[in-house]
Amino acid sequence: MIFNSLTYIAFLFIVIALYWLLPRKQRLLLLFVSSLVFYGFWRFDFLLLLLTSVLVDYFAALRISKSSSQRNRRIALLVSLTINLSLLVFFKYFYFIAQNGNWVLDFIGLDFRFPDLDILLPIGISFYTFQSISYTIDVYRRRIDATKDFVLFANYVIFFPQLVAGPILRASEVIWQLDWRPKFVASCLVDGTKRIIGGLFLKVVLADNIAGFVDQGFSSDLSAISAIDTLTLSFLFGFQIYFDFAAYSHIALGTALLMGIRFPENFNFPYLASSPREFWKRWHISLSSWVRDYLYLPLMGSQPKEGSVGGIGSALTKAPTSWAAGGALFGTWALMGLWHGAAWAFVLWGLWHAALIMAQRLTSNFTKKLKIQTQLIGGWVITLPLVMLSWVPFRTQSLQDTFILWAHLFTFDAWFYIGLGENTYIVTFLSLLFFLFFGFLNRIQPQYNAKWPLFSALTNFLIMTVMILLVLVYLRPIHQFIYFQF
Amino acid sequence: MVGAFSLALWFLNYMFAEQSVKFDELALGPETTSVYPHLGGNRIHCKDWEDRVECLAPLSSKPANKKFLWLGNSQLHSINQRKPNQYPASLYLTKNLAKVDISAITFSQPNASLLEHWLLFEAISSEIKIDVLVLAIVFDDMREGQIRQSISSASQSAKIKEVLNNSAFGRRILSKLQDTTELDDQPETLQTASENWITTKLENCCGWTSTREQARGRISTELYQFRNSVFGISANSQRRIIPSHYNQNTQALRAITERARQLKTKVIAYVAPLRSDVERPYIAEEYEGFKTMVEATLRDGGGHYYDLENLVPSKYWGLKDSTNISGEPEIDFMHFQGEGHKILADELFHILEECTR
Repeated sequence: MIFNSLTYIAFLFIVIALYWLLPRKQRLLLLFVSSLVFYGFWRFDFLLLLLTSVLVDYFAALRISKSSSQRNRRIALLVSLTINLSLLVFFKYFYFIAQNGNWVLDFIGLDFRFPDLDILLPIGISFYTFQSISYTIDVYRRRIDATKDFVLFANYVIFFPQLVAGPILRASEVIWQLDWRPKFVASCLVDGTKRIIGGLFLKVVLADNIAGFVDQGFSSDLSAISAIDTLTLSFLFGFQIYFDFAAYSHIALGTALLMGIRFPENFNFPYLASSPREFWKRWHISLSSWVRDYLYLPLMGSQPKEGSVGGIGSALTKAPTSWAAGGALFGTWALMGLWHGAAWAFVLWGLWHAALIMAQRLTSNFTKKLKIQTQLIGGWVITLPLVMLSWVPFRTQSLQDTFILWAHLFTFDAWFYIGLGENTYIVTFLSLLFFLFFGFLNRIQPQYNAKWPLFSALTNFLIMTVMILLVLVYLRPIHQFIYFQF
Repeated sequence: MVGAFSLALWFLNYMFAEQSVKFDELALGPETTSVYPHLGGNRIHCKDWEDRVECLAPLSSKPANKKFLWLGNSQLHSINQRKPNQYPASLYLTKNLAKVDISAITFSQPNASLLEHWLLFEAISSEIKIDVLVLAIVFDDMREGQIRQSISSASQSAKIKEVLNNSAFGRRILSKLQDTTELDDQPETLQTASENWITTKLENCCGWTSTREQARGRISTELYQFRNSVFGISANSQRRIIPSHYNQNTQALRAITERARQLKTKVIAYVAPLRSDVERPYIAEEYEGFKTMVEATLRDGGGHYYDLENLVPSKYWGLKDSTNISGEPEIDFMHFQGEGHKILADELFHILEECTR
């Protein structure tokens, strides 16, 4: 089911009303069934795959929890990881592996070919697989106890607000909230509704209306556009994907809040970051925290942190002292790229970010000596375009198109003309302005609310009215959320 | 929260009700009338690929006749300051062609690009053999780079997809068309079925839901006029070519001529009539370069090129509605009055006689 649809709103009305009326046991069953219905609106047949992941991790975690033998615990963990990752690799990466494998086989002159299978990517598989894996690993690490209640555990994995595009949450953050019956608090309904409206506004008013310009720009003759156009399209897609994905997170957080369940924040104005490391504390925080705790820190030989907060940026404080540590940095980001999509362009996106972090580390001795204001403003001015340019391979999903676009930046003549429609530049500029304005508003709001409460209430009321009006006008399920494809 | 919701609903209900705005004809206004004529009960002038069943049927009904297809932009279906009994050139031309046993059909859309003409030509040719293709080539439309959904839907058909996959240009455009996040072209799912059901129910019970489309149109119009006012844009404003779109349209023209040669379809392309009594809103070298490019492409592709730029006398051109918030009517460079349509139809008939002799 798509969040930006009337169907979802109707579904939400029914589920929320029943949720607050039913006692605990039935409430958990309601969430279980409604999550299956939510997913089934896309494809009912893939529910089997989803439930396979749930069953595997439920039993593996129980086995790990019960067993006193380290060997048996490890076997149970390996079984869980193997099944989960095999499903992920088969459904998401088979075509990529086959394509590259066939190329290698051709190159070395072998006659063997990978079969040509028509595989449909199950929606949300990357998200629920990572969430499910984190549970088994946390039980293995003895950070949490395995739950015996199957429905409770299943709800943790398939809870509909975060099922198909995150946030990727930890069992320690969610299971107790699902298990515990919160008292009905009207403010949860109000705050949840506000977040949902905010999310819908970002999606249907901003992201969906930007999408046309992005699609048109990237489908034009890329060799004929200029350096300024490359930057413009990078910024524009950067805003589209941010509005789109942040919208999803807002709606997920708001929906959970309607049920009295609080999820950690997934975004924190990432384009205000003044360094690549800070960007990774602000962008897709739950994924980058997952990668930090289950990949990067173990590879670095460090102790994992706890919870899906802080992002991987919080673990990047130490400069790598060895090639192995540098390898861990680049390897982690390459895998993070591949997690997004089965294409070399996504690997390039990951490596680009690893290179930015490495560059920050190598220049940190120099930048530390600068004034704090210079560090912040100068850092933002440098970080923003570099981060935006990283979206080029993400959007084109083609190395060839990426290099065509990036090459314009190094071509002297390409800086002296423009090659896109005028509205593309206007929309890009307005998106930047909108983002900066709300970033600023977010920063000053607490003081502003305290100083002028009445004026603040009136402003909030007007902003909310305009957002509701525009959501009512533009709410149509015409565009998929971009992160659904991952 | 309830207050904000009520206020928003009230605003939607009262401010946007009873406004009728057509998105794709935003720039025309009431001074310019769109007419898609019929002849003998049959449609002879169509807009989109979605009209194909109705539009192509009369052509199939006379298999012995030669088939003529005319593709162009809003110049073909718009009449400035229309008077009673004035029709677009397509009607006059179709009548004349019928006398010499040629069945004709015209497709035109506002700001139609050569990319769209190419896809329509490929799609229509996959349904029916076209003997003569006439292309109205407009410099302004070389700035367009999109294929609207009502035409790109043609690429969803397996038959047409197969045809497009036979050329490098076709494969490239096909992959670009699939490279969007739009859901309009997806097959029906439980989601779309429930969405349609809820939308219909809401439209039947709650007035405000049916004003949503008007509201979107109204907001687009206001933003368009506001942008023009802020940047001082009017019909007279000089517009540069957009290189990436220009190149794609050039490639599309080449693809049309190549495909036409394979299909043994005669191509006649003309540079569309343009108002000549006022300074043109183009950079002279760019416009001349465009004409040279069209002529060279047609020559290389074995087609026929005509420059009809000065065909319609100044007195037959008109005014269009204001494109900014000033409300002042503006010079229309694209659409002429009813008499201009007769002149264009006659000229094209003579050209066709000359080329098909």
